[in-house]
Amino acid sequence: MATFIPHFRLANLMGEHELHWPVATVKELLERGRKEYGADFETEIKAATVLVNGRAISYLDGEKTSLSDTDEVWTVLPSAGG
Amino acid sequence: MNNGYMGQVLHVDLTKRTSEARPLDEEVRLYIGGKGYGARLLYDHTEPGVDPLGPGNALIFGTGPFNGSFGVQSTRFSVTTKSPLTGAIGNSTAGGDLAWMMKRCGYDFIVIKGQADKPVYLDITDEKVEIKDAGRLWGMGALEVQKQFPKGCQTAAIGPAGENRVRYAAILGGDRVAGRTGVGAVMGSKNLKALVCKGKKKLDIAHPEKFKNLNKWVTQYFKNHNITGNILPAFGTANLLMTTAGRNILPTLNFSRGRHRLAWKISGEQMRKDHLIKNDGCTACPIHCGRRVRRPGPGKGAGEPVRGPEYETMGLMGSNIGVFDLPAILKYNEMVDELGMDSISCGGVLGWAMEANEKGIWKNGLSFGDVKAVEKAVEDIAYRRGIGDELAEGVMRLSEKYGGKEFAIHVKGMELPAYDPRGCYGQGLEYATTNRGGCHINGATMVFEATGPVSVDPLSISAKPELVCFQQNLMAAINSMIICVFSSYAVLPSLLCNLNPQGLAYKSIAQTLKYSGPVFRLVLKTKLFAPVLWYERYLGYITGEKYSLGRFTEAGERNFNMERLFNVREGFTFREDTLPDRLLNEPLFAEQTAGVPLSDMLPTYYKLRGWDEKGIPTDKTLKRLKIRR
Repeated sequence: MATFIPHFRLANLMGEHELHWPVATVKELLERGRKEYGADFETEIKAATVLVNGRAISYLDGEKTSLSDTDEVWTVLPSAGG
Repeated sequence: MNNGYMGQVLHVDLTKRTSEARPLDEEVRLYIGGKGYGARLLYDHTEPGVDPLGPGNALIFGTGPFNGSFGVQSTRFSVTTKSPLTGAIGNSTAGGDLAWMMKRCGYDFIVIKGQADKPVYLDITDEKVEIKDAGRLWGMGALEVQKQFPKGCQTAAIGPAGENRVRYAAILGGDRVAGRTGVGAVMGSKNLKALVCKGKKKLDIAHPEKFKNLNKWVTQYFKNHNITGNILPAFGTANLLMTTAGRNILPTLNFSRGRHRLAWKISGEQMRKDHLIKNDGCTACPIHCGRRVRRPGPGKGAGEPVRGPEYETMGLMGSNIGVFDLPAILKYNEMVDELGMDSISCGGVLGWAMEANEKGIWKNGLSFGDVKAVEKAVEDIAYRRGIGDELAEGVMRLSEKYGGKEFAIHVKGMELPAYDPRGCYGQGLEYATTNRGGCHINGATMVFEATGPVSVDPLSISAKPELVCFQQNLMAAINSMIICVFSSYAVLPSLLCNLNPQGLAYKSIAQTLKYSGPVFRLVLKTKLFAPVLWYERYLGYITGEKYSLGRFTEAGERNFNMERLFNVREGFTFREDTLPDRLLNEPLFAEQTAGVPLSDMLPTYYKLRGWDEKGIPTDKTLKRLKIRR
């Protein structure tokens, strides 16, 4: 069961700040999200960076990145401040 | 002098209770003003090896030519001194309204030396300077004391932490905080409770119409920009928290981890949802990133509006000490402001003490996540009671006394802000080399690696030395002008925020940035002879001088080297350009075998800076930059 921590706006849409899904890859996780939450989920994902354990999937295997039970998938938006 | 400068430096000797206005040297134009020329003045007006808390140290309040113009974000002031926390150059800038009122009194800088024999405050009305008794004000909070002065004055003050010489005490200008490097402890050591300014002079601007038109354009541009017009006003700086957590760089449990599943509980979004009354900010700033929140209850004053915490406070006094309780952090924030101390260092010290307690190195009763114990500890620090007296000394001194240096998170003695550099290598290089110690605001490289709209690979060293040099120079110039560093977010095209990070365009930009080293080298070497950004245009219209991006960033480079020269004089060497053991040696990501590969970046960085292999600016570099010893 990988853990999915969506960014705040997406969490509001999904009604949860932490989800545990039995998925083997990032692709499966995103597909499940799209299936359950529809177009709004897709819009949010397109605006966000998807990371596995803090590493953007673009530096891993993209959506093919495999997930184990201890992995955490986060989505983050551009931010600013300091 | 005119056009941007009032032309006077006020010198105050608190021991002799004298003051004297002297002409501002034309040399200021090389440094622009603010933080940069503050370093020059500090070098010239202190003896080598000066005791930071002794009468020989200088406390320098500074402004730049932009302040007083009422341009966008033009109200920031700087404070420069020798830091009691690090022994290196100490400086901090803050918003509020002090800077423009200092100039309305006719002064660009105020250099304060000596030590009053009893508590005093400095009252400047127009050019008239009086050193007044502050007996009845001593002991008051940093916010409370400022309410004692008549309306129309602009003030800066310390709280009990400054009075008690807590090494990371702050100076508050209004409710904005010059927090870092212990500038408040220096003010306290001088028995100076407050600086009060009221004046009527006006700033000359060389090209007022052009200035006005530019300012109108910049205001609108900032309002329309996704970051300065949307993200920062909506969520404040704490919008960063979910991003740094997701990117595994949120300091958690004394930098032993980079994220926590409960991070959302202390995010800017959660604060907006549960506590925000309205956003507010400094005069002449269209961003309004500040938060006005309801004081959490139950208890006295519950529900009343108070200033909300910034991201750094959420990180250091939240996740770093295992507190994921937003009302508790709101309370800590109010306490550190009123007591007058830096929340970054305070959270860093508490994090180290909790780990030391856990490991049995120093039994102090503090545990991660113990909300109530933190509240007591914060107050004890300010009044130097019990363990607070030791915590007031900072992480470096504590780890020298008790051990635990391997998890003492500081650079040059200053505790690190809320970005773990193991997930942003450029930020690690910046921490290691910034003159005032562990600092994020004198380069903000993490914006390009982790938090901003487009990120270059954070775990690569490619182009990082070049990026850090350029950013440090740019930020040094910005802090000398003085405009808020958040203005630099708008330099990045707003459109970048709308890119799909998994899309081709985003990836191409990130990839290009990775190989941008030669471009940055060219920019660093050749200098651009035309104004490109609003900074140079503003300065050109105010001063009537020719300003280009090249002149602007070269002034920043000069200022950075001036600070370095001060540190070299005070005995700092390349050995202090380093990071805590934990961040160098302990991996944080699956693909790491160690932490930040600092030694792979430093030699290139020194070369780019024109320093020798020991990190000392060469004569050639000083000559090129027209820096006199």
